[in-house]
Amino acid sequence: MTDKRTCLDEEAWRWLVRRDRSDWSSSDERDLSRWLDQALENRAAFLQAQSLWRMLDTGIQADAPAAGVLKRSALRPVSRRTWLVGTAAGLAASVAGLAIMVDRAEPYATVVGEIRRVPLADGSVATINTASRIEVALTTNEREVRLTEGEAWFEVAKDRERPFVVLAGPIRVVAVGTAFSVRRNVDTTDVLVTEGVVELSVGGARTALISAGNRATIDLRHEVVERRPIQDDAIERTLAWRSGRLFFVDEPIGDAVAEINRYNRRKIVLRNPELSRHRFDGVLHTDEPDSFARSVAQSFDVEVDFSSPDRIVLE
Amino acid sequence: MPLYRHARQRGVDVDVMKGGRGSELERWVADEVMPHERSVRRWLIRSGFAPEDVEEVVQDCYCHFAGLSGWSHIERPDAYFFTMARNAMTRRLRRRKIVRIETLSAREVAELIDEMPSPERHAAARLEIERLQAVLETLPQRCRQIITLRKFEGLSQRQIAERLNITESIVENDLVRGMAAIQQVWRKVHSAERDSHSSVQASRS
Repeated sequence: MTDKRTCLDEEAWRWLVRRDRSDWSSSDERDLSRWLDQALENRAAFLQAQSLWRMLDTGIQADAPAAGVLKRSALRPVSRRTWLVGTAAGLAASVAGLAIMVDRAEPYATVVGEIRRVPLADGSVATINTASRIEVALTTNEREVRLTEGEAWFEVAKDRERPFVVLAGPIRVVAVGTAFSVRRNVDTTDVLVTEGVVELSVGGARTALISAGNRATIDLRHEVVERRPIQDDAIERTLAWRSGRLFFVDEPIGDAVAEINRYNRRKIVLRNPELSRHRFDGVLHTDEPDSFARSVAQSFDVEVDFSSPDRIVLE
Repeated sequence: MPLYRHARQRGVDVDVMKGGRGSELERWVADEVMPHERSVRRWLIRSGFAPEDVEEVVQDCYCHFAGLSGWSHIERPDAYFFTMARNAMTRRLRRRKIVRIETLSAREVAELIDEMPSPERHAAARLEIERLQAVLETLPQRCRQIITLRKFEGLSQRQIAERLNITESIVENDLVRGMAAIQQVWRKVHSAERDSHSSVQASRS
């Protein structure tokens, strides 16, 4: 291979690496575009670097799905980094550790529609979303929170000596000083990191680091962990519940209704399945299902029935 | 409350903009084209071309791929790659007024491709990924660690610098050198190497 070839390849790699810097600016972007437009050889070298980088990645991904989703399957035996989900050993270990302090665990729970901000003794703050429950145990060695139901956002006070651990079933999220949320859904658990880095382990065996601006979704049933970056504004939207608001962008109505129903005893019912697939944008208060229903009815020209006290029916 | 029927088209446009630098093309090349690069190289080497010529031809192919505006019509990217390589080599030989084109007849390309069983074609991608990872293992320890943290643990370059207590520019240099080294080793083809293509040919003769 000629030196000229090596130089061009290194230049392409340098651009690729530079583009990953946190301070990559629009003027850098213009410089890169200029370089790419200079010669087709540059473009070809950059394409090869990008593709090779991606190919290295697919070795860990079971299959590379669209949209840059990082998918790991526990069923692939070849990778050292394969995650073992829900191993009995891991479960036993976390249960054993908990038994010692279970007496001192303090429970905090919210009812439907309630959002509660709980300052903890170590200076951390847990903000608990609707219909959720946490149990807090602070010991000299560890700060342990069990999320037994629902969702909570944690702003963790720095303490290198005492890691802050959130347990959601077999999922363990460890932070030193950082902010993140954990949400338990029916089949999956979401971990969204807003500051710093957390260490995630499933079933005790394997770990991965999730850094700020990333969301990990753990599907225990299918033994799959997905990790993907999430934009700043999307983080704000996802955590808007902290101020009693819900923020939807391009959201299927069916999903939005499910989300609003988490916060209200008076449930919205969609009679027409067609409607649930339509998408919309909007901001609303968690406690105003009626104004949401009214807007949907207006926008899509359907009837709405408020006659029942425990439900709102969209025809 | 601002609530309106969402124009789906808008979301689509945003995606296209983000992919403007060719992220879709990059995905296609990584998944469908690059896994066959070594087969193309081996084929050219076996046909008796000099390594410099082979390198140039492969680069010509990537120039062609980089200039593609659409590729959904390409049903067999491996066959396409071979054909591009054949055309590029033919152009080179013509420029040098050397007539040896018969060794790279279109018929030979077609036969080679048609007889390659599809499980082997799929295995090619898997094999190439495993090779890449094997090359990664041969890098110096820090270099390997940095690539691993960046690629598989998802740490940013700054986080890696903090974690390893080194400067960000060292992290960047290691990434550039490490990946360029992986690329160089990965591209190297020994003429004695056998693969699905050569075995197909052997069984026919």
